[in-house]
Amino acid sequence: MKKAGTILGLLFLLGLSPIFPHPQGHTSDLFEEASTDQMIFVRGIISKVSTEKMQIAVRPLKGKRVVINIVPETLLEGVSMIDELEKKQQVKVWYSIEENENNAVKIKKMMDLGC
Amino acid sequence: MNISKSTFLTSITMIILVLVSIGLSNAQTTYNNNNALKNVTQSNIYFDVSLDDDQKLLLRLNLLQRTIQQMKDAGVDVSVVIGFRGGASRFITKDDHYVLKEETDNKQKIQEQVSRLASEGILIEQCSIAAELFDIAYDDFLPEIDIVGNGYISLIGYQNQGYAVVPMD
Repeated sequence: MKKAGTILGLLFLLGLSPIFPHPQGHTSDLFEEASTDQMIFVRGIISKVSTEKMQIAVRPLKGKRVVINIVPETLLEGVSMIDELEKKQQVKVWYSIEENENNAVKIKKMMDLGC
Repeated sequence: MNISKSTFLTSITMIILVLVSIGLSNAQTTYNNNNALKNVTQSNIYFDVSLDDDQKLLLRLNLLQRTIQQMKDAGVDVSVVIGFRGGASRFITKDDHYVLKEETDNKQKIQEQVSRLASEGILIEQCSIAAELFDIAYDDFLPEIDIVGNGYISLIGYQNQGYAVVPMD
């Protein structure tokens, strides 16, 4: 009886899971791969990482490089800390301009699928 | 005409070094692949290129051309396909796009090398999936490039057609 109760409990919890979607689902939806009034989107290659200045320089696929600050609020995806960002990595960055400074809202390191 | 003993010894040493170096260079030129190419008159080769380093890629492309030439010199009729995928895709695009500033010089040399290889009748393919992953517009690839659906399928297909795969990763 106990086993049956446990199974029923698990099934109930599984059934409830769609009610509590993964929080990342919300954040991902906020970031479209295009610039908006609030954020600028850039897709490119990291040309420089400065852990001291907490900055990365990104060369867009076409165009001049842009220096972006990593601030405490910056969301990182694909890496857990700035140290894991390296030159030549492919990234997508969303940033905002505040007082002439480019502050990263989100940095997403692209996966190397080998294809 | 007095020649000191040390001058004489130095001259002798220099002559010996020159003779040895000539001997070594002659020995190098006599290396061959006769065993590997025994009874081989025709060869199909697929170079699988996925290097993401401009310097290494340029070096390998030069080596690739040298390999083809040496096989031809050995009397082998070769059919060659070069398949680009992964990070190597960035370097076979037009202009200086998709690369870092410090990679542009080598990219230009790679572009020239690709043109040379294509002019020799070599088929150069690019995986469309890699292009999509790197956000490279198809129109941005060099005109010599033939874009294919899936680089892995090319690898499989050409192997099934009897092509020897040479990885360059």
